[in-house]
Amino acid sequence: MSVGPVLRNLRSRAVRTSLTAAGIAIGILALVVVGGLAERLHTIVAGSSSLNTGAIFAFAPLADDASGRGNLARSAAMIRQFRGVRGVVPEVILPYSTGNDGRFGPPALIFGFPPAARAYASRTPAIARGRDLRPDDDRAAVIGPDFATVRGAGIGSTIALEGNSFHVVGVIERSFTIFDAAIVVPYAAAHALLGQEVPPFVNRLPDVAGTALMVVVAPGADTGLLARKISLETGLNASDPKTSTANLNAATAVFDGIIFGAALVALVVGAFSIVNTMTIAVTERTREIGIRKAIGAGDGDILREFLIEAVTIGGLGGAAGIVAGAIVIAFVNAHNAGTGNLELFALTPRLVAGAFAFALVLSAVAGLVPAFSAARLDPTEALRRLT
Amino acid sequence: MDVRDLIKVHAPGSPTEVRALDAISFTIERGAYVAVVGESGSGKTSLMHVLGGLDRPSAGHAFVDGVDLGSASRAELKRLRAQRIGFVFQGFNLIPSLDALENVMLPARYAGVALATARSRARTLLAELGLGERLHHRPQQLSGGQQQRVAIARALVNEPALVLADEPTGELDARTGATILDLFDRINRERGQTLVVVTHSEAVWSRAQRVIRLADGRIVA
Repeated sequence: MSVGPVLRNLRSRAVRTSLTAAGIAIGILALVVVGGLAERLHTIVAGSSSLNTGAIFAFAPLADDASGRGNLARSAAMIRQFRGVRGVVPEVILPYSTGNDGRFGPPALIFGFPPAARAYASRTPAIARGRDLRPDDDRAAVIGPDFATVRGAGIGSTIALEGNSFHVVGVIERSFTIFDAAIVVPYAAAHALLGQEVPPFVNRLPDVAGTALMVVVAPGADTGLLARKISLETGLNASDPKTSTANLNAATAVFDGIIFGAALVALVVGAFSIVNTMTIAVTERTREIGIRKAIGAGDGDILREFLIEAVTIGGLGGAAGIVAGAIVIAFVNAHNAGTGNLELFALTPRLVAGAFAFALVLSAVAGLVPAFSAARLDPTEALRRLT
Repeated sequence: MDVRDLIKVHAPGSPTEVRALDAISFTIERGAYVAVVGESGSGKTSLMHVLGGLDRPSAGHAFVDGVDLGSASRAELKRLRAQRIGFVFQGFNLIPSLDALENVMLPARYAGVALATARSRARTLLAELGLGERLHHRPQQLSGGQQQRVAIARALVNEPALVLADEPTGELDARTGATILDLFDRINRERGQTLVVVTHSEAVWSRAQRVIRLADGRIVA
């Protein structure tokens, strides 16, 4: 059976078909929008994972105790002696501003990495425009795309940090990580910012070498064990990269479950409307089924024809839902991007393909019962409807 | 076609049990033109349904093209309907969502004929029946006579051994009905297909070579 007659059949019941397809479209719209949210979360998790170089990160606690526990420089010296540690690299990570800049997404941060950080692992993201920082840079900076949008900055702009001017030489490629809203300055310059107007806990560290330590571990070393040892013996908050990844994945899985569950409810409602529509169609077309059987149609032919109709309704609804979802996502993302906020939704090819396939499968399943009842109709009973 | 002691009981064992066909026997030679006549409720439609492989005998035997309709499997009956039997109904009963060409192609497609061959056969038949200019008209865009000609083309597309027609002129005016009957004469004469027409119209049965008259499920003449 070609698609032409199916579409004509559906067009002859345009209102009912449209309402049924609209039910599916709403479900798919919900699936696409919440799926887009989940996809963005996956992008963020993937971005965060890309920053996970396998190193342990140790941060100073909010206040070091009188014994000096929590002091980064002293802790770094201790950690270097631990078995399985290849090196310890200090990093400067500071808040760009103490207040909320009114945007949705990760906070704006100032980063300073010593050259050694690059020697161990790539901690800085790729540069989209301009150039990366060079070892001889003094007052240069590269900025994240959201940092640039919010402040109307770009290559050649000047950014003031605690009274010091930094010349923007590059814009970081969007990675859906904390670097999207960050400004990265030379390590020495970032280090110099310490002791100026920075959070209290930083000020209390007299010989601070940075605000965090990247502990690079030897291959095969137990990062979990090392992280616990660092926390216990130095007083720093050390996180095991494997635990962090596992926690992120678990949180993502829970989030996926919640939002897809909600979308599924909407879709099941749509599926019931397909069952209803197809049941009515079978009742209305009983005589036609009888005629088709009389002229040679088998049960399989009838089953296939009604299933094709159900799937076509699902396909139309699915396509409409995807288009509507894409419009909603494009609108919200464009609005967010224009204000430097996080683009909340990611409309990925796999989401589009998955949503469409789901609409088709769901409508086929929903169409099965009425299609079976059509296929099993006794032709003589059906033909009696002729008179 | 060979029918022996054929019995058809509707709703057996229930209070509404009806003995529609009561031990009827007859033989129809290949290429014959037979009219089955009788009053309403005489068993004409039940007989047509059994002979068409749509319903099974309650007892007795009915052989069509060598197939015992009582013991044939569902698949065999489907194949028989698709390939060896053509139906023409009183109310034309074309599929409204299909155009004339698609309606005629349908039995060929159900019989497994390739799309291009089915299209070619349907086109040729419709042209033969004077509908070459109406191939893509939907049923509601055709007159009653034209619709019945499409229905006849649909019945003939698989070149069946047997054509069963139920009151083929019942919804046509006398002149158009006569044209359709001329067409049946021609089909029977030129194509040699066995034609069984169920009717209560003298205009129809008077053209048949043989008349089987039913009353209360029995052959009375």
